[in-house]
Amino acid sequence: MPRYIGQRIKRIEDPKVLLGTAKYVDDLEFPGTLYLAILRSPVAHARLLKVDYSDALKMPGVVSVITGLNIAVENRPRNFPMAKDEILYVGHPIAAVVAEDRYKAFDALERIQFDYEPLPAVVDPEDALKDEVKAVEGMSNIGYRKTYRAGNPEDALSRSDVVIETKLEISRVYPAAMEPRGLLSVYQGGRLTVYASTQAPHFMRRFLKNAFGNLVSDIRVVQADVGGAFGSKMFPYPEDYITVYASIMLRRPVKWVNTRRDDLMSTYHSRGQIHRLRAGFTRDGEWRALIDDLVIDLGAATHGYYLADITATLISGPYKVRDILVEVYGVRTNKTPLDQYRGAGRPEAAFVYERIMDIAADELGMDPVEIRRRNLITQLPYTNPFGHHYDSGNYIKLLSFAEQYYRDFEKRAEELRKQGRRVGVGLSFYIEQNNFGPWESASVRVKSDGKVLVIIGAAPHGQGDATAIAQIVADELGIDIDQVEVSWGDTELIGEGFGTYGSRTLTLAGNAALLAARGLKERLRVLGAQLMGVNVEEVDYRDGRVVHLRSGKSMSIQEIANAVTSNVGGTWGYRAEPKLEETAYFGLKDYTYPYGSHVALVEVTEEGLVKVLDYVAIDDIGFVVNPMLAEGQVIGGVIQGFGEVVLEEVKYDESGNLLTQSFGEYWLPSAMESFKVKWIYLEDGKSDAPIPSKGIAEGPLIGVLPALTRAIERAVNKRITKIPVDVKLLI
Amino acid sequence: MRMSSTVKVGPEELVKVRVKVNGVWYERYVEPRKLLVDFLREDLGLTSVHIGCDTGHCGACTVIMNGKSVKSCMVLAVQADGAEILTLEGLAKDGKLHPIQEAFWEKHALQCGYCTSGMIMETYYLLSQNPNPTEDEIRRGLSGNLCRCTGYQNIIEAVKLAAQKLRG
Repeated sequence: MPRYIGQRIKRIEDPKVLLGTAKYVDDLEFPGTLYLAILRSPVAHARLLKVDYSDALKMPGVVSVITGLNIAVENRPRNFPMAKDEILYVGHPIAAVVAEDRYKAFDALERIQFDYEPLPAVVDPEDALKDEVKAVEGMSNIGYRKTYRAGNPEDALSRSDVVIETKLEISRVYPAAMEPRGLLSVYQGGRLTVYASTQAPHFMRRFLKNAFGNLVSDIRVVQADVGGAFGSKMFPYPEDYITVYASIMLRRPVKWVNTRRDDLMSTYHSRGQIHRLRAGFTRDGEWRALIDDLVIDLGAATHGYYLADITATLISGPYKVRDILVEVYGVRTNKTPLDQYRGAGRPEAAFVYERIMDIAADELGMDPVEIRRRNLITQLPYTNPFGHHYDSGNYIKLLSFAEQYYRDFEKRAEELRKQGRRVGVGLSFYIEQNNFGPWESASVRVKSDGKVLVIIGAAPHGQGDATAIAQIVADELGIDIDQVEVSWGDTELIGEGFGTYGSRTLTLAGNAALLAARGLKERLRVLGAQLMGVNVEEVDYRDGRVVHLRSGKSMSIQEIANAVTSNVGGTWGYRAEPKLEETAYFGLKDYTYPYGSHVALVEVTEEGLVKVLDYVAIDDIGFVVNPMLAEGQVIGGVIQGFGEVVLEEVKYDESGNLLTQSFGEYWLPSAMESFKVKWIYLEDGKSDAPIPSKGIAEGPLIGVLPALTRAIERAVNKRITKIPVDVKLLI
Repeated sequence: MRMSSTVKVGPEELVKVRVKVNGVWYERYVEPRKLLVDFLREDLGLTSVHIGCDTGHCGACTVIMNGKSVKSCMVLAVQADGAEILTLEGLAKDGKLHPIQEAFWEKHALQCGYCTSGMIMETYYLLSQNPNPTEDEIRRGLSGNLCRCTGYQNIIEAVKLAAQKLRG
């Protein structure tokens, strides 16, 4: 019987945070550390003519100024990481000052002058499509183009009884991790150690090595404690290259940490999709066809194109429709580049297919649950029209479960409406794709005092995976969880690994740790037998001990570790290999596809405030190792999603000026707007892994958008086609 | 808070600041424009005090100054001259967690932990003013502290539990 797996175990990560001793990147200091600050463009699009930093260099404490740094990085513009001859967005780095401290560095920024010739800015993504005004000189605005076609959508649409035609918009949002991005690059004798607020240290090492491999002999990346990421601290950023370059050139430790204003204009924004679609239904509610033009607002670089691929290939969601055409247009605009944010393409897809379901229900006069039941996939596994293999579970069962809450919420809404209150209920059904691979690594070591150290190649940053992995290893080895430590985030701690993204860490790193622990048990058995001088076939491993069945002799992990690590300076008399470590790698042959349903009861007050009166999220994410951690992910994700539906939008004016430059303009949900979320989990659809989990970090943000949108729509009785919801519709 | 209105110094001239932080008196010379948050972090090494926004919106830098919670990015170090300050580093006694810290642990009230120091200090202030707050009072009390991970639910539960523990 497992002691820990499946239990709500308190986090082993917490004490250092609670005591204030966690070390985020800005908390790390090396003697002689210099501080780097970045001069960012205040204009959206211009030719950069001249940068004059001579006055800045004269200021006391200023060590260096960097301008015009260009490095070729995939899917980034020529003017990357700095504008050399063309400014492409507000926030585009123009110069960097390196100074003794940050006050001096920011003072010096004000002494840099630059001449530019303004160019018209491309702001509206649909205008960008016309390709008349260019976002990047000499390049087409169409940065990415793809057609996804399955079946015969034109024919199926023409034979549909009812065609819904609408435009849906998912605005640009900003991930807003509470810790802004930052880096401390330490140069020592031709080698570099980079301390970073990152979610993928091994990946970061790769991309930095690609750029600077000819300047340094090696790069070690160490993940500092990370104050949230939500996808935004993974892919290469201009500041990563600028800071590392500065430390190599100056041969000094150089630290850069974004101010919040800098972060709002430089951390990759996300979502930013427009769908112009036609969806065909039969009179009795069968979804038959979809033709969708998907425009994704990529900003000033094209690396976010893959998000549209994820959206397009999951556009049918958990439904049986197979005649689909999605034309993807990825457009360049003069805005901060776009990339992933919690959910990465799946929330956008769910918003679209669930809006279609609700609008169709209204048009056909059907019940929203019934129309979903009519269309849900009933046989699993199922290959969707674009090749996703939905693996396991029971969608109808979960919908029926959610329906009970929906009916109950509807009853309560009815009561409240009688009192004249504007109340609505929304239900969503969503499908997730996760466990983005390819694999992850884990080592399990016994230290001389018998404590077990688990090292994982993934790089959690707040999710609590270390606790869940300690639960797995403690159970496998049959030892107390306080004998297990988990470490990660250093490219020199473990050979190779990837990181924490795509709801993968528990399933991939957790199962790697399980396999490594199994290997370690075997190792202990062999070693214990040799140390006891008995036959290995005659010993068993039981609850942290190697037991010789016949004689009753036994050795604990601690005794074995002690036996091989004591006797310093002595001879190796026992001749057994003293290896007390095993490493394992784990990957799945395909992605996993959890699913779920969210139900919301919402009131819109007279003043237009959105109040969530009740909320339930029901998920099937396979086996749940620690329900407290999974629930924490769901609650947090739902409130983030509330922000996306009601409060959060990156705004630009028509000239490309960024209007959201502080938390005064970009509104995050506070304790005042947050609400209670109830989480229920079913464990029908397990993965193929030995610990058959799937993953939950992103699911809540997929389920919440359409559920809340629908509830608000019903409360105000006006159709909603854009998030965040236009305030005018609420009053 | 004592504010000297007659001192005239240039931006580069250093001003003496004496503060009692977590029970210890410190004396340092600082630039008059230096923010309290930078003073606590850089001059005193108290890195539990986090910078999350620079604009007073997020509350990650919340500390207790003369018994009241302040956002230390909104206070100059020189304004703290003579003040008594408590940061998260000063909350645990002899290695034993304060009941608020215990409650945050028990209720899974933190994920990435970046907002946690500010949340705990704001909770400390809230409970010093109101030992038995209603849920609504807790929400209002914490409305100036942003958290991106937890959705606040477990933080609110932790504050309730901490209040209960502190009342005995």
